[in-house]
Amino acid sequence: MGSHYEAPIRKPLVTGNKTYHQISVDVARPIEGSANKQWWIVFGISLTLFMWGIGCIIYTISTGIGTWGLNKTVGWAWDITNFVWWVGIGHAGTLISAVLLLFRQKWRMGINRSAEAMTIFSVIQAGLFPIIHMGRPWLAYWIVPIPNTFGSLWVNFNSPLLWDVFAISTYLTVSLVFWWTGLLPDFAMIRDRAVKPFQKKIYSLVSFGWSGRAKDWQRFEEVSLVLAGLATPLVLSVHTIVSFDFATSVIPGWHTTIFPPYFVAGAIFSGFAMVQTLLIVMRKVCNLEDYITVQHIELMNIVIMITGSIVGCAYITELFIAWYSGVEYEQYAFLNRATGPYWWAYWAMMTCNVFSPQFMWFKKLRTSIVFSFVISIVVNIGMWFERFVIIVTSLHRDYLPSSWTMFSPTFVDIGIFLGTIGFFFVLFLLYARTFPVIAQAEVKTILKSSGDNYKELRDKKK
Amino acid sequence: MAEKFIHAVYDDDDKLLDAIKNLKKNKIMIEEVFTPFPVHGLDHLLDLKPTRIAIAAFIYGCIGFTFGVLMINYIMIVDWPQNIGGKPSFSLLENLPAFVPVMFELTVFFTGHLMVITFYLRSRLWPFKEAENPIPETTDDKFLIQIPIYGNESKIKSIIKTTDFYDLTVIDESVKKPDNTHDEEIHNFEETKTDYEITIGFVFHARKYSDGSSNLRIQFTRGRGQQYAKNSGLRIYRKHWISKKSEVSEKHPEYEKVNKAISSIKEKINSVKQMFADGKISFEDAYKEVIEN
Repeated sequence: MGSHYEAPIRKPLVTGNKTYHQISVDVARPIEGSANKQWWIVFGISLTLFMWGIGCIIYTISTGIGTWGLNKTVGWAWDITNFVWWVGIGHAGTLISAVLLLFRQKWRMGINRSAEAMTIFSVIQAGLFPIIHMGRPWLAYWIVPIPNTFGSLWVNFNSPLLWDVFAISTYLTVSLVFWWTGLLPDFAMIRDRAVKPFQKKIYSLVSFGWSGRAKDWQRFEEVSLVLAGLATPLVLSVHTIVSFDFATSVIPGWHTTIFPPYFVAGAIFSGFAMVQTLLIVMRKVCNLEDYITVQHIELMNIVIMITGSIVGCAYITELFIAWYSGVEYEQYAFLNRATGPYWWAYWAMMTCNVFSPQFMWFKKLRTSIVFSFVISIVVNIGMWFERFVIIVTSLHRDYLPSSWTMFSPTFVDIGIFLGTIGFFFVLFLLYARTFPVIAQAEVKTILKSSGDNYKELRDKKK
Repeated sequence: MAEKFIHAVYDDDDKLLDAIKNLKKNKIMIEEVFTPFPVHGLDHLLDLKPTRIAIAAFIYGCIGFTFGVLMINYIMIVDWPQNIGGKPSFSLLENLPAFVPVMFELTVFFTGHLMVITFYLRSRLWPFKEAENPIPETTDDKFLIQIPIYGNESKIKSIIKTTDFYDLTVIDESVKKPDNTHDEEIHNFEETKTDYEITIGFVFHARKYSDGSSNLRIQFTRGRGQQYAKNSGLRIYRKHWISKKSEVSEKHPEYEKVNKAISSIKEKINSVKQMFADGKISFEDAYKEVIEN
């Protein structure tokens, strides 16, 4: 067992005396069993929200963007806030599976599958908003480079909005193949256990005939490593480019060089918070407490605390630079944020994002499941307000005081946002019932080094 | 290619690695190893060549980057240069900073997708592809070594028996396997999985009598592994067999008498299951209680 050595100081990542077979059984259980009442209730609520959102989208498209609360001054509001919020949430998955793979962090294995699923589902939600905002979404293909014969000029490669098109579509598709490649051995495990013919057929189809040969595994590991190496700069580039949407403009409050790192930290922050929200519920409902342990939750809380503090530093830096620049427009933009008519949004953001994660310095609090869940929700709310503050407070009072105005959302704005939350949970709930939610093949590789029974065995030998 | 194989199954990755070392020491050829997860060091032990997929990925990245540069140069500089805020729109180099993001994304896009496609094609993975692992447990917790036999069957067997193996089977592909779905049908009363459970069901003997009837046999299975079948003493026309109910239909000659006999067997089967669960009889002797009484 020499090759499975792990420092005794490291806490076990798989508890409950698992064997290889037991891992398969535990991961297959939610798929092979039937859904309970709570699942149907939550699914019903999500589906209702989703349908309501579809109704609002149909109303928007058939009547026009005038159904939203936008006006001549505030031309971007809830739609882009929601877009950036969802894209930000979509950053944790690839960060967990790619960056933590490069750093050889074993604790990623219990959570990476669901985090990647969350990434894909939230990027889908994000993508909806710019497309709806086009007003004529059936012409959405005009954002890809197509020649003049279509009646328009080529797309403009100087524009950060076009960079976004390339960044987000690359991110979505590369994350999807990364996710699916990792799923193949796990789908194969479900396929080989399946007793119902229909189930067997479906999992044969999606597992692409995975057989687990030595050569396949060699390639599998190499592909995972290279994809992780690619996805790491990719994930950083995506939110950098999203921040360019603002930073390359000349609006006071947007035109800042700190935006790319600040947005990336914020994205990781909100993404981990959403992973935390989902996994705390999932580990309970699917009986996966042995794979998503308190140790996992604690480590995620530490990431939330650190990224939250980075975000806090960025907020303070912005204020300082606004004062230090001597530019009165810039100074006013930040004064207006903190003390203007949207002061409540600014202070909600500060409280949720900067103060609340500081509780995680206390071990007792960051190992408490209920407290972690509450903080994860608070952070999600705070990060929504961050985007709202950046977008709306910067726009509503710009250079011309005669154009100053306020923004308030209509029921359509709210409906579409709630609709995407519903859509997200519909996808995630279906995923939790049909996909292996733990990367079981990977967890099996760390069982002998990080399983509690094997660790105890090694401790006794000494 | 050999037509006969030995499948040596192990239930632990370290036992598997020890066995492979042992086989290599004795110069036995290993054709394939199936494992449920990547076993560290297995590729070195099997002397697999390092995969060149990362090199391919680098080439794909170069293709993506070149495509990006050429496309942006054509669109923004050659085909339709525009004056955008007084930027230097007639030179790719001077305008390059604004083009970096898309070039980067295209490089990643090409590398990621083409590499994964290459992996799927080289490892023969695609929708509707049939899985090729010889036993389903190799995706769960079993590790299988496939060894071709070239007249050295007993030598291989003796080497494997020195290792801590879980199961050993000889597969002979030159003898055509009977097609189970047509000749023999298994009608289980219930699905069981663990080794401590016994499954008893009806199967038909593959050979038919000249009148078209065949022997109804009773099959005993322990867990997923050991299995044997005994004649029930009944001769039945299979075309009248209802597999869902495990009885014959009304069209069968003397169907009442036959169904009565079958139901008495079913009763015995249930009592045998109970006896087995209570530990009163062994798996090997279970048939005696059903057939001889």
